[in-house]
Amino acid sequence: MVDTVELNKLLDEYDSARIKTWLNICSRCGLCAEGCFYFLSHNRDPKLSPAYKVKKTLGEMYRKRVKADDRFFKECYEILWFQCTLCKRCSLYCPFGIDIASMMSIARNICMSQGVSPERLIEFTENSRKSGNHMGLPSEELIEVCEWMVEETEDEYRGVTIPIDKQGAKYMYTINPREVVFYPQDIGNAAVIFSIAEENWTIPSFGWDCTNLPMFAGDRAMAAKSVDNVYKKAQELDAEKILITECGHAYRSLAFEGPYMTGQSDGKPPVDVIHYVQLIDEYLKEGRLKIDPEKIIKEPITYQDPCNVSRNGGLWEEARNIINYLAEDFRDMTPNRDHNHCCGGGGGIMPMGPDFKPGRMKAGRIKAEQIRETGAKIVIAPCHNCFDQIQDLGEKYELDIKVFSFKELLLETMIIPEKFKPDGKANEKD
Amino acid sequence: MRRINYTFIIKWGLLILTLFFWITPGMSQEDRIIMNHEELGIHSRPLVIFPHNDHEGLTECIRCHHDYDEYMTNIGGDEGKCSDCHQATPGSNPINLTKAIHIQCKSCHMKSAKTNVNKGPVMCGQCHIR
Amino acid sequence: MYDLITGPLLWFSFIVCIGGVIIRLVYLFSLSRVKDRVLYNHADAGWGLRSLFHWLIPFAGSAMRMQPVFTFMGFVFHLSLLSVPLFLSAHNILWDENFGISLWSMPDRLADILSAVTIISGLFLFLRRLSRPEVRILSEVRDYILIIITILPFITGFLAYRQWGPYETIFIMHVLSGEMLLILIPFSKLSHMILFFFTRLFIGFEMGGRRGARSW
Repeated sequence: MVDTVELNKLLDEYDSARIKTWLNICSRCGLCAEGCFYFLSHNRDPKLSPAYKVKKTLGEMYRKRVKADDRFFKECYEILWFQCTLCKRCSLYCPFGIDIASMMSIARNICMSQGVSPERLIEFTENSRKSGNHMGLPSEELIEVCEWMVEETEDEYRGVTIPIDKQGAKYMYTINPREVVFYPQDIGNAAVIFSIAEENWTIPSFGWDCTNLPMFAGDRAMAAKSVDNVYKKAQELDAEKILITECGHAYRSLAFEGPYMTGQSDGKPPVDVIHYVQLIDEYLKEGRLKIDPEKIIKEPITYQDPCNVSRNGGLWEEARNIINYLAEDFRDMTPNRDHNHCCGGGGGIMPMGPDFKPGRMKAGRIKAEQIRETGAKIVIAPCHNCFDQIQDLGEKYELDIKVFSFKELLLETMIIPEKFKPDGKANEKD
Repeated sequence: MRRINYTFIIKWGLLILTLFFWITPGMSQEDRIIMNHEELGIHSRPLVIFPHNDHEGLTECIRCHHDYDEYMTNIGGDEGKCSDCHQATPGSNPINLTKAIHIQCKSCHMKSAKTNVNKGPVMCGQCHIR
Repeated sequence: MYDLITGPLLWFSFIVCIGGVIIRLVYLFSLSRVKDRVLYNHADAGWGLRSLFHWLIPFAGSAMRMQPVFTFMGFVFHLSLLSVPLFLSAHNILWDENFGISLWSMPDRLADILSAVTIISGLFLFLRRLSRPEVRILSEVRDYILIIITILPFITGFLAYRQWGPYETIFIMHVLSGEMLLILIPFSKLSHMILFFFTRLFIGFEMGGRRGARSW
């Protein structure tokens, strides 16, 4: 049953000057379709044009108001979660600059208020509510993994540590819970990089989940809580900056959406938020990390601009600077930077599980073609969703590529100063 | 019995008719004034034919043939033309020729349109007839 | 009839058009002070103006380069649509006679051609709406009607200038359709002629001022 009271309340609440203007002046020219990778990858199916999607969802909600029924929300569900990743590319293709993705987000929130949202995302949201991270992990598990990773590094490095809850660190490093469960190596890699750069950093025992799946699920209150956990912890630890692992939507959520979710009046996060690509760029520029000239990557390499890092984060030159240090044969995709295409794994569709893989693979055709055109053998993706999606695309479209995060490539190419080499190994070399 | 020569009648008839219509405007030059002011250059709209006779008696002569003394009293302007005082571009007289003529005609026509008495044309193409 | 449509009805249309636009802007502005902090927080003149000008200059935005014919027709349509009513000499003569003010006037021959251009490009937009699947699926009856209403003053103006057809009827239709257009501006999608500037500035702030990304 439709909760009309809640529906009306939300519709009124969201009815801002922007929404009114956008819904009203869209002159239905259809140009936005040119920007949408769903439209392009489905042979220009008119039903996938962004203007149509917003018209059928938020547009109808305002038109129908309380007359909206369960069937209507079911239709919205399909459109909002499986035909749009909120990549915001269409805004660049609209003559009026209508922010279609923002309206799709609002429509998701309204659907969620009616209990309509993908099951897995609701599960993740509940996990966040209970534990402060979307995988529902207890703090002990994170600490255990950190300890384990420190042990793991001992074979190759000396003096790598992972400080937990350290006061007054320059960076409070926040991660994606997937790293704890599926890619603990990523945490180890980060620890090695921090240690060699001799950074003052810490991982918090709570508020360490930088992701925000409740935001994608459409649970506004929980989405706000998720970013607030991180902000609060950073303030509590008196950290100078919040650092985000190689994750796209976490950056968008903490740096751009979060301030509004938590009601910061100036629209800026209470603690500066920076993304991992900024950190590495800074380290390489300042010479705190050095690349071994003999290890520079010779294979053709390309870069996946994650939507939420590049277009929605404004960080694209950083990544290219880093690649300049790392590799010889960089081949950019076309289009790139702020005009990049979404890989097809964004907007929360990636963690929804294998049932949705066929849809992801179809939508990712554009990305697969882009990668194939570059002829690159290595794809760098500083975003967990892009990473997984491109790996899947590589298999499905037989692209013959390897996908890496910056951390992995950095560890393979950087110079390990003598004092960080383990005793045994240093002796062997002598 | 002579047969009536129709061709002859039609030929001459047409000729006379043509001459008649040809001559008519010439004869009544005073009545149907073609408003062609060379100082305005090539007119962008069709020339207006002003039927002077039709306007006699509708209003006082000095309403159009006006001139003003220092107390702004209309003392009448003989039988002069608009362009005697109103120049193509406003000079000594602030109202230019086009505007003077338009106002002169339309002010009356608008009034007559309201009262429905002696209605004169008000739409552009009713005077500038193609 | 002439008296009515060029007198009280014209005043009514002007007042509704200008008043409606002002009321709408004031309403949206006051609403935005409460609900659209995001508009003001990231305001940045440089990004805003770049966002605006990239969509005022033909082919400056990347989407425009993807549909060059539509872009060309769209620009030609908007330019002639705005310039003919403003710079037609007959309109300026009326302004001058009634208010003593007037703009530069274009030659009648040019206005004649531009009216035809408006009609043709307007019909192109109409046919594009019908024929491109991603546009047709979005279009409602009122979208088609709006195009017709928009070019109606130009069709009747074009006929009236040439005095084709029943002159007086066409003249009256010309005035009435023009007034209908004015009245519709604040209440229909035609309001984009004003609101366009605000939405473009906003997306310039949002993408550029806030994130440093282009919005064109």
